[in-house]
Amino acid sequence: MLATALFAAIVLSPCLGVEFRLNGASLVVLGASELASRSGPLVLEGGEHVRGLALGELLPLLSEAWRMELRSARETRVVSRVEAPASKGPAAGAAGSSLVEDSDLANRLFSIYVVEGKTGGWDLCYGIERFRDLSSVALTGEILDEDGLEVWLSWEGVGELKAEIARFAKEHGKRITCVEVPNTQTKLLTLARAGGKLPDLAQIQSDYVPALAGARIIQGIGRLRTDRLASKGFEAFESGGVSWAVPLYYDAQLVFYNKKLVGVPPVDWSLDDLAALAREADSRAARSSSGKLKAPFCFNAYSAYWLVPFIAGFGKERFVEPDGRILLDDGSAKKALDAIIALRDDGVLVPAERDAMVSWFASGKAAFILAGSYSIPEFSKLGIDFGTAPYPLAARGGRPIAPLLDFKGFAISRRTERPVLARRLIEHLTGQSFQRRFTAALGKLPANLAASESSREANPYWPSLSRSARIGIVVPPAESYALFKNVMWKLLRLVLSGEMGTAEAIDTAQRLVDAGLAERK
Amino acid sequence: MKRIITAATVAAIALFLVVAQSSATGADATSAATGEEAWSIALSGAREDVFAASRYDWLMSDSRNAIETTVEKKGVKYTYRGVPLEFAISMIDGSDYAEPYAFDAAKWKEGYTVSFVAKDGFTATFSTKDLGPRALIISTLENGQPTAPQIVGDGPKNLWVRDLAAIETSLAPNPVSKEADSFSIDLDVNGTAASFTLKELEASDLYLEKKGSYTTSAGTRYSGVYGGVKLRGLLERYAKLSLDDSVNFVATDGYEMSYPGSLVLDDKEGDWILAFRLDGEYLPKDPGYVRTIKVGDKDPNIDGHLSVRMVKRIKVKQKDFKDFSIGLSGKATFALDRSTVQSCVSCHKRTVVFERKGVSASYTGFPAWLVLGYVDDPKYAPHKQDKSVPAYEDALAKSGYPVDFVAADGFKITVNAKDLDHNDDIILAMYKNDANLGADEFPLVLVWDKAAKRLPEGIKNAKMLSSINAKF
Repeated sequence: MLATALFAAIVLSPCLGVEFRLNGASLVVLGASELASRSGPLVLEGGEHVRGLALGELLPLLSEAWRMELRSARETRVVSRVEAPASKGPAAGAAGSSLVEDSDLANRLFSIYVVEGKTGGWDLCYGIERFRDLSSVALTGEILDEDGLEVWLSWEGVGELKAEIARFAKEHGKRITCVEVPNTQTKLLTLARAGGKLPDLAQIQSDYVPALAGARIIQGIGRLRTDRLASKGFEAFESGGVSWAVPLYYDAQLVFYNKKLVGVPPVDWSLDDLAALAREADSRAARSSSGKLKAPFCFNAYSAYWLVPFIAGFGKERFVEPDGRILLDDGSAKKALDAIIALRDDGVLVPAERDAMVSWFASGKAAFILAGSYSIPEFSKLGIDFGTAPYPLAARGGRPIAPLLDFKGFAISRRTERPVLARRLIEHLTGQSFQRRFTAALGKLPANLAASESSREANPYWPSLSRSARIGIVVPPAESYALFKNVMWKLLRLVLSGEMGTAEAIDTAQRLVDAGLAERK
Repeated sequence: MKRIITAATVAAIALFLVVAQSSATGADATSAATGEEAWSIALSGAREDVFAASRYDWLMSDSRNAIETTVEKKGVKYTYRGVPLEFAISMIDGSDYAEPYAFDAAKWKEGYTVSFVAKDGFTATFSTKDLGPRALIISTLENGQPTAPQIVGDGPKNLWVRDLAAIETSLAPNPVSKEADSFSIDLDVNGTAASFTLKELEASDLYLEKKGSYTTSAGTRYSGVYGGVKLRGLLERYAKLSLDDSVNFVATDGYEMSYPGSLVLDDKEGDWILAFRLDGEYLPKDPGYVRTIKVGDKDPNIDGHLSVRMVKRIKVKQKDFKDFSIGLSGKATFALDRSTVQSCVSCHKRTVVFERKGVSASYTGFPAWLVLGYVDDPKYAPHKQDKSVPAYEDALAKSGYPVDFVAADGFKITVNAKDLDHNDDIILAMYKNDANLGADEFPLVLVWDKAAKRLPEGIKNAKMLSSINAKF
């Protein structure tokens, strides 16, 4: 009796809370205050900023779900048999009950949101649709019985990922083991060769894809592909027309400038502008008590990783050809190298490796440097008064020097016996809530577009990061890129020391990369 | 091992009689699928094959093979017709390469993994220990309507895979081990060729596992327990090494390095091995599959540049190896030995055509100005400091200083550094016409290209160099 009375009270007073039901049984009734305490900022598909949380965070993990009934306090009205693609859902503002039939519902629960409504109640947002003043959500589906996942983690943020995965596991009653592995590619290949047990999920970066896909260690994730994640992220893990990993986050290359030495660079600036500003900063420093700068402009020009953006800026449309080759003799690489050498000869650019570069930047001896967005928290901690700018145009009115976007993602083992649990964990980790918290803590760019959007106002570096994301190119997931990197670090040293001309270096690189590819085939 | 002849086998005999006549023989042969198949599923296991629409249709035509099953999907009942998975598995779980394929029930029970791969790469895997061989079916009929081949049946729903493109099993060698297994290291000892796979090396009595270390030029030391075969023991199966032999390594990326016999024979601190295991695990392709390292009870530590990675070929030509040491002096001193010169030639190789008394010859070495980097500054030398610090003092060379090239017989020529500066046409050569220098020129010779654009006035050819001295 008491339960009936309580239920009636909830139904009649939506602000009291929302009931969540599965297969006809009540799971939980969450009061407004509890929902509010678990909510965080979200950006809805239409761009509206709200507070709420994903339905997937409120329900048990489901292997399948095909029916969702939404109730509000008013009369019952049923919208039936929506053979729903993602955009279909209950009619906006529909009163009463709304029935959603979507065979793919279980895969969408982390992108269906329960959000604070404008009238004190809670709304359910499903794609662009919004069901207002929710009193209950009833799902029909099957509870996921997979368990015992092993996840390999790497790079920055392992601690944060471990903590979040532990929280997810506890909340859903699953056993998930996380292992930190310094180089997941090497370890996966070694283990596969020995016939050992592979993890269910592993963090990878784009240039691991050819080897891991070729060795049949990872599986295609096309069925997990969603519009709410950056499309360049999927491009970063694409090989042979198949997406091999789900993007988690990325770093972008940026121009960092010392605010004490230079002002805010102009919008749509060019490499010439950068050089001019660097020269001015050097002249000013020379006239002051501190004396000339160690490096008006500095980056690790010995590394191919920093050369690729210049090659793109000086004309290369596509870094890796459809047949997997890298064509360096089309003029763009020579122009890029010549431009770098000219800056060096002019005294503007001082090539240096990271340690030296950061030390000069921190001590106010370098005006401009090129570094990854991962440096933002590091420089902030060091107390450097710095700003960031997107890469400039290669020439006025020309193409932008295109920063490399270095994506990290999750690949699913081809041999996993827990594919759905692996997918659910990925859905959670790529959901808005975790993406926003994780990337803000580590200075990364979220793969989730809404999480990126929600950080717009809070992140002072957002303008340069978003422009970089737009003009950037992904680290090519190609075997030839790994060869190119290996070959170029030797040749760039010779070029920068004057021991080899740019044309000869490019010819040599082309020959060695082609030979390396032929050897591997 | 007990093998079960399936219900389809009897009916298969007729097909077998036809197929057996037309199939290729041998374990690697695949079954005879007709040229234009409506669909096919790639199979990999103990052998590779294709499960094609024609075989499926033929199996389905016998009511003893066809199975009908009704399952509930998302609250709705569906009926599927198809053939048990075991008909596909039987094609790849043994060496049968044509009908009638015998299904190996014992192997299934013992356990191996089966993965279903969809066209979009989605994969679902199970262990055969957990399911019966007829629990899942390959079906192309859903409620009587044709579909692309899919897996359904009495098993976990996460194994129901639509648009099935391949079935892979752990009975197949995985591509990584396949590549590593096919890798061989090639020896050429005085013209006698031999080749060894890693398995053969591991099984040999020369295999050992001990600790070894190397230190990079940046000063980082890497240690581990390496497993591999004794280099000396392996080479001495073909020829007894002596101190003045040379052992030349060629890596898969073309890098070359020579060890003097004295180095290989020096077992005071441990043994040189061709390592392919590190801490129990096989080395990956890079820096493996094979690298050279010295191992021993006291964890010997070698210079990183002496540990050759990705070794593919080893060539021994006895009696022609002569080590040398050329003294360099200036603001610093340095002993230029053969392995340093060879490493230098590997990275900065330059070949010139040198003409003397109307006779031309091809000489290979490296630009002479590069050695000045060792002596033009007391603090920095090539490969001895952070990569961002250039070893060579450009400005100093451009301002000019004399450099003496002194031969073993006392002959000396002096060249100004500004004439050598970035001049790649004047080289220090260690090879003539692709062979080692003769006794009248060994160990290094100063030569230049006959088409050189920039030559110091009065420059002379210097042979048998013993020292190079920069004067400041």
